[in-house]
Amino acid sequence: MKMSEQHYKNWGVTDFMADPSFQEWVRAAGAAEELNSYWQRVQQLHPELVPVMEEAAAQLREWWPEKILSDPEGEQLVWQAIQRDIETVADTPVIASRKLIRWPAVAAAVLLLLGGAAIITWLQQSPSPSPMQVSASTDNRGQFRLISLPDSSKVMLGANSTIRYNENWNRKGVREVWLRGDAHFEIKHLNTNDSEVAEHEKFLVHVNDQLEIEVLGTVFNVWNRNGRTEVELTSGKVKLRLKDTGKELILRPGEVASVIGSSLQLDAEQSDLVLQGPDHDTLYQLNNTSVAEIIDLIEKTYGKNVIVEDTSLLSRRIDGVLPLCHEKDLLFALSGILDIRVRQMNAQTWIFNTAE
Amino acid sequence: MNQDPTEKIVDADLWKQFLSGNEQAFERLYRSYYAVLFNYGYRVTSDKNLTREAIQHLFVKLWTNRRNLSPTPHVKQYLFKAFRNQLLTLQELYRRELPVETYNVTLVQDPFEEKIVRRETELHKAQKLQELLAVLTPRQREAIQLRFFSDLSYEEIAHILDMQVGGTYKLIYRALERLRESAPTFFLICSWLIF
Repeated sequence: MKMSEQHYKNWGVTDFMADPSFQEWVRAAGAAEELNSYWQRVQQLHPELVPVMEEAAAQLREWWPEKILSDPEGEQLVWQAIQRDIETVADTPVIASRKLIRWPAVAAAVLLLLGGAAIITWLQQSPSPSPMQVSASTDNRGQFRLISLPDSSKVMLGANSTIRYNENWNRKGVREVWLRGDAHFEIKHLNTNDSEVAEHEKFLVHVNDQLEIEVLGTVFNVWNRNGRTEVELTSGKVKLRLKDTGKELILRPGEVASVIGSSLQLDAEQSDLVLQGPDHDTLYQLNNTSVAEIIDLIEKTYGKNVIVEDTSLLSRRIDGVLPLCHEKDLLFALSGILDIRVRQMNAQTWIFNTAE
Repeated sequence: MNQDPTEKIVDADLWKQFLSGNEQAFERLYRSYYAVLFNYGYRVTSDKNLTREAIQHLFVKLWTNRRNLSPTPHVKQYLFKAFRNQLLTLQELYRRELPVETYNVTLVQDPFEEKIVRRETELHKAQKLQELLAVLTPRQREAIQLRFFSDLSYEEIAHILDMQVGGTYKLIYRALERLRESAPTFFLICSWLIF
């Protein structure tokens, strides 16, 4: 754009159309001020060129597509194929020349697999009915799920989490669930007397293959962040047991314990971020929570990248409730509480800006 | 419009994390590039499966070779170049595998194309566009695709097509001229509508 404006004297429609700066100006529709004033100046210097430029702009706009072709189904399929390929490569130390996969072949393979799975399931079921496992998951697109366990205990599963349990719970066995991620539990009492809990009245939560929580009619949260697992007890009583060391800890209402690596300890402070149960409209309770932690939560919940342009924002702390289930509500609430501007740069990235 | 500078930094950062083996960063790169790569590949080859497959191979290769790759500030340009090579390799491979007669893919009959075109609000425009681009040489078509459908800068296109920036400019200029010559009435109608 440093060229003298005289430069354009003999330009035709195609010259303008092919000029990157001109293209940008047409596309951005007045977004960049510098660009705007530059081309306006050119128009003032060469009034005779205005119709030429307008024609060039009109033609560019006409066939410059606003949207791109999308293929959401392919995006899923291909991602699955990539993951499968990567695992295969990881399993075979010698990288053999691998045969290319055509999609019809993949479809056939999937059908075969499904068929195989059905046969195996059928074989497993026919001689002695072994317990079937149920699993529920949430993704990182702001999904939360309320799950009713076979004993009608409730679990609110946080984003990006998975819970697994047997389909049928008989009256004699221990109730057991396997959790990866975050969840709020409201466990049904089978025995109101804490001191006399029989084996079959126990409820066990296995967290990340690392921690075991033994529950006696209770409301509590499990929360994973920064490589550690936090358990906060709201009511009732739970016993935590580390699988590695066998270390145990009994938690009382209001207390928080955390597992970092192979240590299990009681935290001095209450958790500053709490996943609320199904009876609340809003999902997270903030107690003097730092913006950095909220951003961490957003990144985990929605799988987004958050860019903060003014880093002093990160250390600010806020109280209140955060509506995490709807992206729009969340952004609206945050921009109000923090007095910031939130821009969505693309599907994956949000930018937090302090408002001028 | 070229890529937003902040977006470019984000990509470069993701790329670095991916190189160090971060699977989440890898998935984010995949998610943010699938659509643009598919869009480009499909427009160039008009073969949905080939395009998907090329994306699959590209990302599997990226992951398995990540230790031999280096950080770059030009992630988009890098991915497009690698993807283009992948497309060409696959196209070549299947051309050899398949008898010539069966390889004739006709764009219009592809139900997938119909579906996506219908999904677009600019239905008419998109169809018109495909007809228009048929008059270009393959290289001109590719330059136009990269510039106008994939938002790559002249410098990036020059790198991807292995040519000088000045050459890219000439290529696009000639393509635009050809388009204007071949469809004068179309453009005329457009300008009437605007003024």
